[in-house]
Amino acid sequence: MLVSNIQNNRQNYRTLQQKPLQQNVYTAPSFKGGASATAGSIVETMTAKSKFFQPLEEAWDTATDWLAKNFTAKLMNTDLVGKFANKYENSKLITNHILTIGAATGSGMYMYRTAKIPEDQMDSDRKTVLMTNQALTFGVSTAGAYGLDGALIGWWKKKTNRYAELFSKDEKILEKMNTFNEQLKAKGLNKLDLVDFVQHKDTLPELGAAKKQALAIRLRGMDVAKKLLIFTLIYRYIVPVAVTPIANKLGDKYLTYKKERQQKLNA
Amino acid sequence: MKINLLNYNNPYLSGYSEVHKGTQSINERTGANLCDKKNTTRGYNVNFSGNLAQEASEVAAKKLGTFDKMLNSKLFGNLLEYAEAHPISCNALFSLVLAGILRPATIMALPGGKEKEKQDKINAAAHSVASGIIGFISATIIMTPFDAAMKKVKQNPAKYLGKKAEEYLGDLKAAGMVKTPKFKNVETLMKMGPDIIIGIPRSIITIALIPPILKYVFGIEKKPKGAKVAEQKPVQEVKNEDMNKKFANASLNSSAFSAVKGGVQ
Repeated sequence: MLVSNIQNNRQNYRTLQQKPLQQNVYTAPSFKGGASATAGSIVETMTAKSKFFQPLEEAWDTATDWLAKNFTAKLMNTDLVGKFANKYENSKLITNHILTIGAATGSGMYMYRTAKIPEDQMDSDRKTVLMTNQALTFGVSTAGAYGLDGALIGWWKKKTNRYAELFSKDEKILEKMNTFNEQLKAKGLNKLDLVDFVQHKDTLPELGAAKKQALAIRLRGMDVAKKLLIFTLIYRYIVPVAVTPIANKLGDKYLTYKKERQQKLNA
Repeated sequence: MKINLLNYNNPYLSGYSEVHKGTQSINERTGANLCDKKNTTRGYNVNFSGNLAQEASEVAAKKLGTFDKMLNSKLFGNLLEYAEAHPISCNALFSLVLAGILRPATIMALPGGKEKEKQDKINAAAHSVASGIIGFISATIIMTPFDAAMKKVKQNPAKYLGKKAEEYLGDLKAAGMVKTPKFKNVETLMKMGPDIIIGIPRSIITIALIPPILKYVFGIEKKPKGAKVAEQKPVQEVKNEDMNKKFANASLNSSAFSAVKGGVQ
């Protein structure tokens, strides 16, 4: 289409060959429709607080405030949470432990349900094998999840550092952190990790407070997301797809072997 | 883009270039060659169809590897913020992806060509998708208020927390208190801990909601064991009534008996 247009205009073009080159400087068309003003009013309307949602927002605010006072703060004001905080002060595996407790609760529920199946529906030998399978599957997969999480620490740290570089558009952010840590060391203070470095009031002034806060949140999110992904991958995918069928087959083989042995002894 | 078209179609605006002064090649005789001449002085570049910022970002993007591009994406950034703010809901989101897409795909890809095996696979895949969806919805609905409550406490610890919390966390009015590892671990406990307690009723709700989801979303209805017998009985009674009426006044040679072939139907 473009070529044919040029072809059609060839004659005109040739006549132009005899003329001197025109200085063509593009000037942007001027819009007089008040586009910027309209856009401004749209943005204003969209960002203004909606009166329709205001009662809902107030209700949400009241409810979460009540929950903060009567659940979160009350629990945080107990000795139990105090002991937990002191015991695991520097632990970086809290997310893993909580996910494991959650999975243990689930596995415990399955084992309890298996134990409660009436004898006429499942004999006790099969129930024992099934419960053992469930317990072993949970143990093996949990060990695998902790192992995988530990094995990926170094690799994920590199990716986290890279994320900080990309977000801040500063390839030297790690060098800056090291320099800052050396200064702290000279003053006899503890070194900072990347998140604390980003959050520190005397670092990265070019980023601005809001971006620094956002980066710190995302860097913490990197750590949480990795752990969640690993544990979910193992508990929700690898266990039901790969581990449970193998465990069930092994259980069936064991029961067959036990039955044959019993028959031989009886004979 | 419009500017380019305008200028391609209007040779008066384009002028001529030095190349055309000499002997013309076949290409030059048949076309204006404006598209190929990037060094022609026109006051603007006809081949350029974006803005400078866009071009700069494209150049920057070209330098990034695949993983870097993923890290640099807006979606990934939002996911990180979501994981930090709502860990249990994010966990359920990962479960939704795994149990809703990856696991059904794996189940369906497993060998098993018989009709019953195929049906079992469809049931298992649908069950997995349903549990993923319900798990995500229930986790998000239940846990979001707890996350919001923790956020309020974090924003103003002095307002909500008392002396006992101050004993182990330190000065509640200190600016850096919420950044200490101790507070961060307690925050994780407060955000994820309730799920351990709520996890059991949540599982019960999930299990209870799977059959209606399977029925109304996937069209799979699991019939109870006694259903077959219960459905067949009334039909048989009606048949018997018909037969009684049919045979009431019939003799053994009647055509009504021609339908009877003996044995249990």
